[in-house]
Amino acid sequence: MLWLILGLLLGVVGYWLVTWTRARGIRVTWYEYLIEIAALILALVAIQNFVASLAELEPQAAWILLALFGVPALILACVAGFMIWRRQKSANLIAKV
Amino acid sequence: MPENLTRREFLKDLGLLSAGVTLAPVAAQGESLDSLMERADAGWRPQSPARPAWVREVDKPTTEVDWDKVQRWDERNTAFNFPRYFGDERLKKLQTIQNENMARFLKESRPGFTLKDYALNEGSRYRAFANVTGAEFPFLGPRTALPPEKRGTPKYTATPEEAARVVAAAARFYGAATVGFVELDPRTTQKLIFSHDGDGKQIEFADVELAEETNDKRIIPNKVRYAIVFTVQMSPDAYYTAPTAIAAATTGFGYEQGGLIQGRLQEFLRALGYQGVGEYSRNALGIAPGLAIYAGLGELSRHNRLLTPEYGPLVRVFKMITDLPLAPSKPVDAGIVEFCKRCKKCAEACPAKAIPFDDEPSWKVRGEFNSPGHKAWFDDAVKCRAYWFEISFGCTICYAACPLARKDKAFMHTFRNWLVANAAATGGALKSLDDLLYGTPDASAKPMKNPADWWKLDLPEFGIDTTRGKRDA
Repeated sequence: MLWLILGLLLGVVGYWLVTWTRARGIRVTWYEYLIEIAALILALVAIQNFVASLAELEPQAAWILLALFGVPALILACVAGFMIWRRQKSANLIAKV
Repeated sequence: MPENLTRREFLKDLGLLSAGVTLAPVAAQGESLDSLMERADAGWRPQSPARPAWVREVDKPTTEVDWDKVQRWDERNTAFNFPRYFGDERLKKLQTIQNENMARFLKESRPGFTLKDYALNEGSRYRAFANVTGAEFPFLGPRTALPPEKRGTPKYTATPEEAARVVAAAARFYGAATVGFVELDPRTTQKLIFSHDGDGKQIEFADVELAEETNDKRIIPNKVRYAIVFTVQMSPDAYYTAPTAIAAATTGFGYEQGGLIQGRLQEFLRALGYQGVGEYSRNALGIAPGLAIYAGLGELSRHNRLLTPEYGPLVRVFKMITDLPLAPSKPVDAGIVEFCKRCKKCAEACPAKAIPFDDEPSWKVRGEFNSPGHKAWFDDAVKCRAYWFEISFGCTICYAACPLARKDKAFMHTFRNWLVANAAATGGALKSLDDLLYGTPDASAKPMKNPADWWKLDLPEFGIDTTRGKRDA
């Protein structure tokens, strides 16, 4: 059930993101996609380890594993987002000039 | 789809969606995060430890009762009182029909009523406590199951591979965790059977038809040479409190389960038309880790016990021998010995300092209590047992300390097992990670988990997860 809900959410979010970026004319390079996919995989690993460790009655392991995989996931997602935002900003500036 | 979102709105939406994705798994469990974390405390009910939200507690049961009309019931009124409800004559007729149908179904090999199906049922009805005074039990087994000749049918025959599959399926049904087989060869693996059992009786292989037990011998026919080796899971949560009476409880329980499974298998084999000799007492008959390693159930670890890929060291090992030809299983290499070379967590945790810290296993034994002829990290078993007296129960802290003694739900464990098998150099790092995630018992025998908290846990039956280690035989 957990993975069904997660899959649905990811599908909706993914579809919305791609549609939104295309509609806004935001260009995303292949390596930015790659970083985002890596962030997503790390986030999924963090969620799986967190929920499964709680089910194992190991809360200490759950929180440490969430941080261990979740923090790199967040950092990678932010890096990709920042790269896209910066390029978009400079493109807008060039267009204005 | 709005196309005029500002950057701030975009980031806000992204944040909300991220929060949704993060919290969804917790919601999907049907429990709040708090209830997951505090399940052990306030909401605990003996009869409903973790029921889903759709099960409501009500003041009256959903069956209406008029207590004025209720009297205490006499069990003889139930329909199991056959003579009362059928009458003697009809009951005789029904029993004749039952016997005829049983024989006919067996003759027709009707699915679900073949000899192996009947044998499975016979084994399940084995009653351990009815045999506690029997001098010949359990080496020869209870021997109460109906053998094929009394059913008027030939004994079970199958290829060794098929027979191994059938025996493994029965053993798992009776409670075994993993099952493997070894064909005993007098030049090699038969040497893993004790020369004498702990009670001083000699174990002798002889050219006789039937296994026998005398005052000073246990005689095994030479044709009885197929060893069935099986493990029984022990409860990780109980072991994490080691060295305590709680940890000792799962050890004791494991041994008793093993004895029950052995009796059931002996009855099962008898109903198939074969002999099954077993342990007269716990740890009897042969060297458990040695046979288990040759049966492919695991590897020999630093603490000189069996370490399985499925449950780590948290198993008890049992063995019996039959004349039903069984295809032997092969030994395994899951990287465990290489991992043990680098980990050493059990040796650090051992309060008796009985487990060696040497990098490599050795041929050199540490006393007569070690069986020579193989390379191992030989433990000082006398130091270990002496500590048992000090702590008042079997210690087992080395079992709890092992990083491979963790449960298997988190992906991290699968990844760790892969590294153990494929990247031996990571052993030290994996040990450090295990220390961080799950803690470590210290040499002062401080348990990894507070024993008082064990009573608040919502554990599955027997404290074990029987969905672990599922595999086709």
